[in-house]
Amino acid sequence: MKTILTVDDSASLRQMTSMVLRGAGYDVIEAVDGVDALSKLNGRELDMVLTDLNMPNMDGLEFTRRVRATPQYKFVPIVLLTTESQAEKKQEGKAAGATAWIVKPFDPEQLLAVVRKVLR
Amino acid sequence: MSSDVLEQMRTAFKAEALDLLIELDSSLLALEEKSGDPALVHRVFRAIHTLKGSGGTAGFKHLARFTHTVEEVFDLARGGHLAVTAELVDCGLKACDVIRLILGETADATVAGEEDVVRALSQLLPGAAEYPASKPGAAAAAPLGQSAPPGGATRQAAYEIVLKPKRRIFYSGADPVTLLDGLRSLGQAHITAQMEQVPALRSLDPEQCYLWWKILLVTGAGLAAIRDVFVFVEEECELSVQLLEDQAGAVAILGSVPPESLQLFKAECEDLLQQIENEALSLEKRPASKDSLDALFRGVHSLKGNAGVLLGQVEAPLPEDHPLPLLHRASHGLESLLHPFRGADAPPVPARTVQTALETCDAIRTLFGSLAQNAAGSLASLKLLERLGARGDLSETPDTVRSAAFLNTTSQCVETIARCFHRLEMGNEEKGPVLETYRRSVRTLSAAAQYQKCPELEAPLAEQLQILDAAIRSGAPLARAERTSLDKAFRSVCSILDRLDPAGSSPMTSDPSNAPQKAPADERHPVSTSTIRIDQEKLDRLMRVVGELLVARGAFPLLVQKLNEGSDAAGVARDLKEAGAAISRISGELQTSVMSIRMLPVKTAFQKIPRLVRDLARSLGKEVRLVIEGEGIELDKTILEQIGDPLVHVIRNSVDHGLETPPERLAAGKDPSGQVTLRAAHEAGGVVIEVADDGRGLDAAALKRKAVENRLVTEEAAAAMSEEAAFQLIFLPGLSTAAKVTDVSGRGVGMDVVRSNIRNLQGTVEIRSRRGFGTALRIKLPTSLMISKGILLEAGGEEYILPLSNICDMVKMPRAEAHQYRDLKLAQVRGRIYPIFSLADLLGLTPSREPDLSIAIVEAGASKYGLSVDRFVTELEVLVKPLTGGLEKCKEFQGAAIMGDGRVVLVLNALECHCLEQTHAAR
Amino acid sequence: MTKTILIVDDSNFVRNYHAYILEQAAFHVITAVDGSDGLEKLYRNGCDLVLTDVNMSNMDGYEFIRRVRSDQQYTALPIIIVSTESEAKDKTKGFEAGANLYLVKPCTPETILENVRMALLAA
Repeated sequence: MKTILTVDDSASLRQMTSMVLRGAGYDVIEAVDGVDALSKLNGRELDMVLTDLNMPNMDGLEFTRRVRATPQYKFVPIVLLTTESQAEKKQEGKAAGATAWIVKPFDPEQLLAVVRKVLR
Repeated sequence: MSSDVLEQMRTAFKAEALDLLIELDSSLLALEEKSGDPALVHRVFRAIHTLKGSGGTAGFKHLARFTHTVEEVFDLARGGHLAVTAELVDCGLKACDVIRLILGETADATVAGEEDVVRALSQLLPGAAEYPASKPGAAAAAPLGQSAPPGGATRQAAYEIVLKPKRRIFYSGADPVTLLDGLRSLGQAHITAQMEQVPALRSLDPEQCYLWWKILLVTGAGLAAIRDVFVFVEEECELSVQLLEDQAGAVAILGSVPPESLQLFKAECEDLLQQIENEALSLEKRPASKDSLDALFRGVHSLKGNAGVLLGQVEAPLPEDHPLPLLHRASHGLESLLHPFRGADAPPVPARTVQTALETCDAIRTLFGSLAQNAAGSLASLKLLERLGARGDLSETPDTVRSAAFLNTTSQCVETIARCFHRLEMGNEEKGPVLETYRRSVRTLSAAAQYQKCPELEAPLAEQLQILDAAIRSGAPLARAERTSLDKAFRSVCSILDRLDPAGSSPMTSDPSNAPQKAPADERHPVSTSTIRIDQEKLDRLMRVVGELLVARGAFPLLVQKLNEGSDAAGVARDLKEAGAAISRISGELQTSVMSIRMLPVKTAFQKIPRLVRDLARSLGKEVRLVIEGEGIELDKTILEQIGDPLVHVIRNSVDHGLETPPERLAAGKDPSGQVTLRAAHEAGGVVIEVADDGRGLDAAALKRKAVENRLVTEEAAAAMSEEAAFQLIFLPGLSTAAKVTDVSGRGVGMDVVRSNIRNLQGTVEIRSRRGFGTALRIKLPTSLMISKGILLEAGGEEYILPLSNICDMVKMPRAEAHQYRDLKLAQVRGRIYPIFSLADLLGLTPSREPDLSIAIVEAGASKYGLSVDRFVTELEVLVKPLTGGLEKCKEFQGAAIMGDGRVVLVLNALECHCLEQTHAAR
Repeated sequence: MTKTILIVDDSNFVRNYHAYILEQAAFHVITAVDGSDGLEKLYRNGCDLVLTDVNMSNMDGYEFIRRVRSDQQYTALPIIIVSTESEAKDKTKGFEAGANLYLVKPCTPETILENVRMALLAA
């Protein structure tokens, strides 16, 4: 079973994302922000990261950079959840090492479509 | 996405939204006090932002649209581009009310006050935002257009895609293979990896991507969908997507030929071309060399064959000037050009012809080049083809393949038979092979007749077959009369065939599975059982149950969360119990559904029997009526596959040895035609298949005599044997090898094999017979091998499982009611007396001394006996795993089952316990 | 009970192509590169039907069929010739050698399948 780490400060969004992903047969680890996520990673086997951009403590871009800088996770797909559909945010995300992005709000089908596109 | 999950999500969101609204309210009120506090503005913004994001995800599209407008305003305020005024706060508070109302609405309708708030907000904005301008909204702007391209175009188009990922692509988390998979999901993708940039192993960095790809893709999805595959990697790849020039040809070939097939074609043609050229060159040097000519010819021939086969596979018609048909015609032309020089006494190939051959090779190579590159392309000179005299006389497409196959076959057979008649008339050759050819054509014709459902052909064909069979068997020349009847029957076949117009009248359908069901005796479809054809309803049910399971699984993470958050244990325990109950109900249903998929009607095993009986009856000169009952009863696929052979054996015995010849039957006062009944029925948790005949029956005395002669039983044992027990001797291995004994009717042949086959299926077999009235063989089978119901019991302090299918009755009785009779314990259960054995004794354990006896009446073949145990614990369902690693020799156990708590419990084999008991008795 | 089809053809492409068609239709396929290989495969594995080319090196299709038919146990084995030769005399030669059916290449997948299914009924 593939494991996905989902990072979001909104409890309901986190919960909904998890619900959709679990419903599609993925294993989900939840974290509330970048700092929490890094501590939860801690060398675990991981197939994908799904992270919000706008979060307290450590934002999504910084978190993405940290994950990419960890040798174990240097090839892990990272998908950004963003309300901003502007091109520059995507560019920034890409530069930080993100693989793909989803623009909020999205419906469950859209989420799964992106996940499937990124995960083998 | 299941609607349950959506509903759960909506509920979860509503709960959070109410919290957020409280937060929003209080922040706004605080903002009214401390106007312009950036931290407060930020809190307001975040709350609205979350409402928008989560709301949209939970399916509150309307809410998302509304909050988007509110968010825009506060975003400006956050950035200091808009002053935080009393009006702004007021708008914010009113927005809160609107949001509450929207949350309460189920429909996507505008709520009271919404338009006022929007208007008020837009007035605050510097450049008045429109509402509900429904800018497609953020969602629609998402790069997720997986849908059909604009206009819903489904026309197939062929693209050439070049994908060159940057070396560093892996570091973005992207994987080119997923991109290729994405293309494959759009249509037929012919992918060629380009490897020239891969360095020597020594200098290869495994974290870099050196490969690049050329992809020929035929899809109806459109350019947008192709681009969408690469949406996340635009910066990490060089990508070009182009429509191929020769659309028609490329779509036709790439779209209908599997990539592997095309690859193979290219590789082989490459070799063939090389061979052809080499041979043409050596032929130029030595025009008289037959070897070179033959090799050249074979090469051209194979090339033509390959191109033809590939052409046959292409679904859409190709344009005349497409390289593939041209390739085919060019090689065909070359072949005809060379043909006249092939004979042993043919002249050497003239230089001019060799020259043409070489030119053709060049032309073919050009054609092949464009074909290999992208299955399309520009074209070489048609003049050459004219010189070769090549015509476009390729495959004609028949109206329906099926009737074409039928017509082709019948005309071939009729011609062949006509020629056979001619050869028979000539009388200057051996007749045997001619008759063989004749018979083969008749058989083929009769296959075609069955295939196309032309029953009227059967009689004349059968007549010819009968005469030919007899003639071939005897080896004698055909008599005048036989010749005449053959001729007559053949003529009637021809006239029937003539009447069938090419469209193939008669009761014919294009799909055999739709054909009307006929009498079972005429039915003989080839059945392929390696795959399972599943009833749509069964599959739907399975899908529904799986859906339920997924939903039920969703409960657990929530429970874990509750536990983590320290909710009260009793409440969580209750929820957990409920969730557990749901899972167990669903898994029960899941099991039933999956099992039902493995179940097939016994008809699949019975199908071949009518023909068998008919053929046997004919060859033995008997008249047999076959009655089949219960064809619809279902059995596990594995069991069905393995019951076929034993069944054939048993039926053969019934017809061959059980039934008498018509004169014998008449003499015995019976109907001259005998009856064999094949019947399936449900019985006690399993299925019984019975083969009964109304023949002469078994002779118990003869069986006993035979068994004693072969030292299978002692004379005393035989004498003590009841008639019923004597019949079972037929299953002993030794008896079967005996020479045929007429008064035992030789029925022993292979019956031991039948029994062991059936035992392997956890089944039992018994035989009943009445002298002069017939014999019935009852095969009792479990419905499934995988899961069985059983009784968990204790004996000698150990737990065992006894399969329910072996148990006929279970009773408890005072110990005193079992009587010792010599060395046998007997008890009366429901009016019948059974020998009782203690399971613990049989297994060498110490039985308990309970005041009452717990007895299971067990069926073992024809006999029944009681098995006393310490106590019965419960009934359960178990997955029986066979014993392995030497333990399989313990015949008293059929396997082991793993209990819910992980313990392993042995499953008894009632049949073999029976044998233990017999060995005990023998001692 | 899956039916086994023996394909005898000297072209790797045709062999694989026919095998592909038949396997798609759930037949079990074994292949041989010429007549003598075909005989060996037949004796080693057995089969329910033979699909053979005629124009082959080593041992041609006619000889192959004659040898198969000379064995008593294979008199009823359905044999289909699939050949590029379309003239009547070639067909006659094929039938006299012992073939049940004669198909002219190229044939569509459906043609192959329908004829195979039909010929199997003759077994």
